[in-house]
Amino acid sequence: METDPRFAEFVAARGDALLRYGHVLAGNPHDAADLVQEALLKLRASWRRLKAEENAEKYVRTIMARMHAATWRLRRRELLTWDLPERGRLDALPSGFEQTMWEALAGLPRKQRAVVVLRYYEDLSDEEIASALGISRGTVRSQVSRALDKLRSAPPASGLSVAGGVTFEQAGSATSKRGERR
Amino acid sequence: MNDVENTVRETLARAAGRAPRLSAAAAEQLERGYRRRRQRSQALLAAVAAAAVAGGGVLGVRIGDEQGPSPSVNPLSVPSAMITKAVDMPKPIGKVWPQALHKLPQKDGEGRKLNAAVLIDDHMVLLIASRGFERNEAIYTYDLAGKKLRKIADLPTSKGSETFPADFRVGDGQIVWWTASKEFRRIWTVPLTGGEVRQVVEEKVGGNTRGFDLAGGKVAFSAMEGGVFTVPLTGGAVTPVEGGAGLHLLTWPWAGSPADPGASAPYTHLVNLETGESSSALVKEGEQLYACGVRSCTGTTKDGKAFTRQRDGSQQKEIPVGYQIPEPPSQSRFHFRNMFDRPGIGLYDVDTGTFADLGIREEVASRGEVPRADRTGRFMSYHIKSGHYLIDLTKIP
Repeated sequence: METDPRFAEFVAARGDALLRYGHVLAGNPHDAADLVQEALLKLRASWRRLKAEENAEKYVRTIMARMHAATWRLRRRELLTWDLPERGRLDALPSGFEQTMWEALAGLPRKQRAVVVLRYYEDLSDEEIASALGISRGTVRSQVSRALDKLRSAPPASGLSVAGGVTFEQAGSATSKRGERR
Repeated sequence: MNDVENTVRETLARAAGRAPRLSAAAAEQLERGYRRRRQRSQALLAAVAAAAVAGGGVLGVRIGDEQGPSPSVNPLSVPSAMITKAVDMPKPIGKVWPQALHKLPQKDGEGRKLNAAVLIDDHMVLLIASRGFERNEAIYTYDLAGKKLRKIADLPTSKGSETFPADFRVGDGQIVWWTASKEFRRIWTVPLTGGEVRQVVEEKVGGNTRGFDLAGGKVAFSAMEGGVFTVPLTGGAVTPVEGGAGLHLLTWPWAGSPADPGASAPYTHLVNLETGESSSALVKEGEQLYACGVRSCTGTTKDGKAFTRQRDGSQQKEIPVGYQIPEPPSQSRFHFRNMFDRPGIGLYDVDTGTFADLGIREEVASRGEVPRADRTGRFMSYHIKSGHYLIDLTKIP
């Protein structure tokens, strides 16, 4: 199948960086791949209207942040296109300290997480964050402040509910603490 | 910038490194998915375009269907080119390696979460009780055979933006750890049998440590900016260790560089601060090393295959695609991977090919819950609904 060579080039050059961004936004590799896949499909649909590569990347990142903050639902439609890449995937696991923070980040509402990622991972100014997410600067500041408060104090991983156990005699039904945000 | 902000920044930077990587065929798969989607949603395009115009533009292009077309076209069937091969379902770890699995208490009497910090010996584990983000408040020991939880000490209350007690180590019958604030860095100790918490030293410099260990009657540590220092456990002056300038302590007596979480090939250079012996991990052309411990390194070959091997390049073993490697790679044998058929994480033995189900399921896995690897490589521990578990890796034959 003929692939637009410029699009293919962009995906090859920037795909890994987008997956990294997706990972810090979504908090796990499944949803990161899902998020990037959706954003790139949208980019592909708009490709001919784009003029420069840097715009393409900014466009994809904006879509990803918005999708994550807004209505993006964590769906596992099927095994993702690149969930199991051909080349080796090597993940370093965090230290206990960062592990706890990573868990605490997972407890943030989506918009707060998006704001935190844009500020501390993307290093965007409040104004840029506001523009990317389509919210006011005041909202950016209040969301960051609330997020940091939560990260300081919220029990990160207590009360998690999951099905099963180490022996899995019964696979009980899972209840989701994040349910209210879905 | 306070500690939480710094930690967020570092956590995100490091988490980015754990992202999945792109398959070589991604562009083609996207093209196929795009065409299929376009065909299917042809009838809806007009409606979507209208919504996009109403929604306004971003960066000169229309965000368009950013929230996805109407539910009737979702889920879209982007073809899955990588179908996981049929494999035997992994058995629960409690059946695969029952001798290695221990159940620990999840909470203390005050409802604080307990985390395993140090496996003191075959029967005794050091647990830390905490609230919230590493707000470590008390130390316990737990007798694995007698199933007895014993409180050793309450940790001194943290003030202001202090970094909560971190990096617990056990040796010479003492437990040590450190705390930090903007103005001070403090090292603390308490006897393993319980008693008074005593301050070993207080330095009038702010900032966290990166690298902290016991070194035969002394505490050795590195500041964030580098350099290795020691202070006697009984108290006294902090002195720089000869040969440690510019290095970060990995595990006594080994210190090395580079140590930045974002650096490529961390700790490929190591120096033994007691003997002066140095070690440079072998890196072949075209390879990328992700992490090195005192014994082994992990990385990817020129053609992208993940491996683990000794620092000198010997005993190279391939890590199958999709596996996660505990860091630092204090042991090179056991890795995690996602379950084949559902969200969740299992433990994989690279030597024997055995894959055991850890019981970590969707909610925990999607929150990033992975077993915590002990820095010595001796054990891993994790919390799930049914309990708090510790796997003693030395008990796996």
